[in-house]
Amino acid sequence: MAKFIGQRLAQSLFVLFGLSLLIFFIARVVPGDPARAALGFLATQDQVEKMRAEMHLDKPFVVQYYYWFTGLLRGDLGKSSYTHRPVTTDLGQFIPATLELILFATLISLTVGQVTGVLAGYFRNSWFDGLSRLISYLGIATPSFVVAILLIFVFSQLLRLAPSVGRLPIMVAPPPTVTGFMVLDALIAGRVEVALVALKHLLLPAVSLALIHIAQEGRITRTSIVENLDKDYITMHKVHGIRTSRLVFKYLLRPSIIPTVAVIGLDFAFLMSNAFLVELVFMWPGFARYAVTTMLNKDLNAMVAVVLVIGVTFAMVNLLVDILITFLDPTIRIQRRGG
Amino acid sequence: MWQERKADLVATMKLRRQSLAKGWYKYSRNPLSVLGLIVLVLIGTSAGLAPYITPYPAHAGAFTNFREAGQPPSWKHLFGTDRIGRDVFTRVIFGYRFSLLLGVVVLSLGVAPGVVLGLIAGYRRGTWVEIVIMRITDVFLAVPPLVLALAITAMLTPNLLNAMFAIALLWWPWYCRLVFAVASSLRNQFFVREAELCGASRAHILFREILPNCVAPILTKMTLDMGIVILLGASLSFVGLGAQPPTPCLGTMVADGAKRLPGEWWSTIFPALAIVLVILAFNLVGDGLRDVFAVEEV
Amino acid sequence: MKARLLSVAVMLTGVTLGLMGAVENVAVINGFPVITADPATASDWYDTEVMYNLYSPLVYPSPDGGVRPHLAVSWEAVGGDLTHWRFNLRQGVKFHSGNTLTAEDVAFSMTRFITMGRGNSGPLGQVTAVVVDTYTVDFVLDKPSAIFPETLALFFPVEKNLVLANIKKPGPYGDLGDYGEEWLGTHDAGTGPYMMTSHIPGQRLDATRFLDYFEGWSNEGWGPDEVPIERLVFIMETDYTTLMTLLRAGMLDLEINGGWTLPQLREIQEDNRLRLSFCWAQNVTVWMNSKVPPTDDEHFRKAILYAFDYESILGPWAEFGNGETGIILPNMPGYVPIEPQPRKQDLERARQELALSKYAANLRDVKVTFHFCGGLDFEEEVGLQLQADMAQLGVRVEVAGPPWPQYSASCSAPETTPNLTIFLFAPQAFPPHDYYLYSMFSASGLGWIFSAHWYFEDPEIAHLLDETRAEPDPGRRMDIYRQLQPLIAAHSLAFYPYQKPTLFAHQAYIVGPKESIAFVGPSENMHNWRINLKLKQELRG
Repeated sequence: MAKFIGQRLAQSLFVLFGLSLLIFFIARVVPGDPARAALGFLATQDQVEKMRAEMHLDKPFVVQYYYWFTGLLRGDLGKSSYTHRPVTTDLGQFIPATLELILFATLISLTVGQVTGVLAGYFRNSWFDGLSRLISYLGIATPSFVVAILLIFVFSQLLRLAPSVGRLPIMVAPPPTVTGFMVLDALIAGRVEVALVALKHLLLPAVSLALIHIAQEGRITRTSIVENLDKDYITMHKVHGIRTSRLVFKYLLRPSIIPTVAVIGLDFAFLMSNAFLVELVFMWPGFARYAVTTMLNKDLNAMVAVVLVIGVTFAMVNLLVDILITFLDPTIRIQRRGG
Repeated sequence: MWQERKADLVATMKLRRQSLAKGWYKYSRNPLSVLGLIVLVLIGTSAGLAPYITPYPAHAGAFTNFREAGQPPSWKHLFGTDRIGRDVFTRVIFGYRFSLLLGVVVLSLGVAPGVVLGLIAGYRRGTWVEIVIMRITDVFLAVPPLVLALAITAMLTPNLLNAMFAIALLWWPWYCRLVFAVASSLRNQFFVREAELCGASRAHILFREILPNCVAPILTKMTLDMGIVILLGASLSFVGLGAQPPTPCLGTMVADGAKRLPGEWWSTIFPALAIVLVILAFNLVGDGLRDVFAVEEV
Repeated sequence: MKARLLSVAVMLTGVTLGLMGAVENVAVINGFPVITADPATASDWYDTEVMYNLYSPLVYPSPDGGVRPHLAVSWEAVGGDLTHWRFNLRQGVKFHSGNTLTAEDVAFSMTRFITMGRGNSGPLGQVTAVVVDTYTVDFVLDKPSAIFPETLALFFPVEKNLVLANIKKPGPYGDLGDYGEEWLGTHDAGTGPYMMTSHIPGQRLDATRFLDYFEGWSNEGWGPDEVPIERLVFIMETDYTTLMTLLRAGMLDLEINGGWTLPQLREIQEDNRLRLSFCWAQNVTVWMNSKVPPTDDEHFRKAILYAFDYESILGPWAEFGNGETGIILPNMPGYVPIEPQPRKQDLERARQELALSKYAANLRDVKVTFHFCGGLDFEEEVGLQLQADMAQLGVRVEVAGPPWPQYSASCSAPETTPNLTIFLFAPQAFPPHDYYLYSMFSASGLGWIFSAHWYFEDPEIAHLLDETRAEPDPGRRMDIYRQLQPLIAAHSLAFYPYQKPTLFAHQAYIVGPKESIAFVGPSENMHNWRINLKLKQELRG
């Protein structure tokens, strides 16, 4: 097991190194003037030249990469030319907001996906199964930014049920930052009302992100349930008169957990990239909106950092999922031990 | 001799026709897939004939009429007009042109190199060739495609061509991986070994022996990917990195209209639904193909 | 639930309730993301708006286009060559810390401003600051400037010792570390009418009234119920649907970016609890690059000037103040109207000019590129209008909207600058006449996007522009500015589709600005506004 993890870690590190080279290359070879962008409107040409030197933009690619890499080893990702702050400070401020959103979305997609999947599987070919199939098709075919806009239009603008902008109403002062998760921080500060408002703000963006995964997880669970429903042991249990709920939870749901866990890793990465546009639509002050804004503003340091953060998260989640599956699935466990 | 070959040919043709008919039978048993195909054909034809069938073809190009801006849907303007006074229905149909074009160009640019690299890596599994190819593939797949596509297009001059280029650049690794999986499982099969023993060239083995076995999954994946690529293109144009005005582009139209919600809802809701429809159609057709080819996982 | 939440909000933000007992004395203001609150790096007009509240400039813009005493009570050029200026400071000016402002602080701030070399420091050149005595400071320039005192309307002194105490090391400035840049991002060290209480960059800035503000808080000239605003909350919201909801609900008091859509403006107009005010407009400017074909031909440029349908683009916006503008803005003193007059499309004239151009024979092969800043609808609309207009003359116009960094970078050299580039120039550098004329039409001006026409060949214009910076008398300087406008317009280096007023939308009980100046900053100085709590109680209580 340790060997397996070590191997995977080494592989991930290699991939991340390659990714850093790739994104660094993309960010540096193209025309544009990031120094000018960093300085603002009324800067003179002299000031721009000085800034270029300060940002090492006058050096060859390899030298620039060396500076960046040694900085990385010191935990310094450079300064954002958009916010005028160290990129690490920015990341620290923005990542929790996105994590909160993604985790909430995962929670929604897991629970709703499982429930619909189980129901659709158990009552297969019923109207419910058909409906869930239709919704899952729609869910997969609808880009999350379209879902976001439709949700805002219907639930926020027409029905006025949920807010569509930001994490908290403007006049509500945010609770002191502890975890960076608005809901948790509000609870820690003992402000239940604020936590509830924050939760309300989370709702629409999280659902926009979750919809496609609800659809996918629902289908996976359904397939697994349907497969197992035909197995002899289930028929046996049925004959023995075991309660349906027990049947579902003890015997049917368990096999579906493995494929569900397997897709979570992939889901997580996609949630992160879908969040790019969803955060933009909801003005969510998170990492993804920061990512898009800095990319559009040619903020080189921020852009490289942002892509790497996503790469690292992706790699870590996948590693975690692999390990989890190894523990959950005895056949794989034995295979690995042998091989 | 000639007669024999002709008979041979006829036999093959007959076989092909039969398998085609069998495939269609399988496909047509799923009403959703048939529906998807019908929608797709409708979209394709109307996009192709857009200049002849839309009510105001001029509205897809250099045209302004600020006095007619923001009109709600009516018989005159089925989907209303946008902030420039252009017919939204016309622009949605023209928008399909560019969405489909994007999908086709990206896949034709991206699939070929991916397939070739995948074949080579799969066949030469265990050598440094495989390691190099597959690790580069890993790097490209280390982040979701939207992230890299955004990064690349943000650096280039925004236009349809660059958006296509950026997405195509990210698309080959998926096919590389897919073909690699098939090829590496086939390379020890009897028919490959046999060809090797007969002294067939490497190209023959790769393209005549192994490749035909990858066609089914590739085709299925391409159909499903059309939807994803169109989605990605829409996302890029949503943030302003796609085709430039006045080119009608579905993603741009959604982004543009979203600022005018809820008042002028028609200028964003209709293009949004149009995107959903085309992606849905491709997914349904892709699912149908998956059943026909009995492809497990693509 | 809603009412309870609101009361919780009020309680939590820890505000003393206003005199009326029920309504709060606060102004919630929407400005754009304030990126930096440090006076040495603040550069965009969003920053300047906040600067005018937290800090005080050395001199203050006046409605006649000049400046008047503020932190400095008087100034003079020492010697005759306009490179040495002496400023006498006001005595007894208090910083927010309670300490008194001295020449030490001013000299330190100037050295910091110039050394860091960012923000609005560019137009000042190299300046050496020398303390003469406690309330006198000398500035020595590297080149003569008659307008140096005016440029200091964007120079905001900071408190020396406070900044020095909050330096972060190591930094790019040796012993001075980061020169206090990081700390000043979230704190203030100023003398302005409001004190920063907190700042989350890009999200929210809170400030409270500074009772010891040196100009005082006299109620002279204000109505009986109009009292100073106690607390400011700057929010940074870009979604105007949300802003509209907030404004109508009375949760937003003042919006100073003016990004409203037409239906929204009508809604505001019809709501008698809301007001629209107009202080300064932005000049929509389309540069025509005189160095690349086909706009290198003066007749071709003139053809564009006359082909553009000025009336169509205005459409219903005319009723909200969009209208004719020239090289400077119509509400600035010294404005001279320029061609075409009257401001409307003249296709016949355009055809004539086109026939005179060297491209007359092969118009089919000619392509005009028009670039705008991606995401700005009104800029795109100008491009599409011109595209449709030029199509009538058989000329192809290609419209594209790259994101800002790319767009602006392409304007760094004549060869890479597109034929036509559109910009929105707010009066954000001081003096504004110098900004719209010298900075944009002199070879030694700001360059880049400010002169993407790339035409500096006319010796008469060059001479007069230099004159403006050598003429110490403001009246005579204004005459030169008047003289310059038709001369520049004759070359057709730009066309000006319209002026775009920045409409402040505010609650009826927020009163102001008392003094309206065609310059960004002073109009948004909340010392210049009052709140009528009685009216607020009536309308929103």
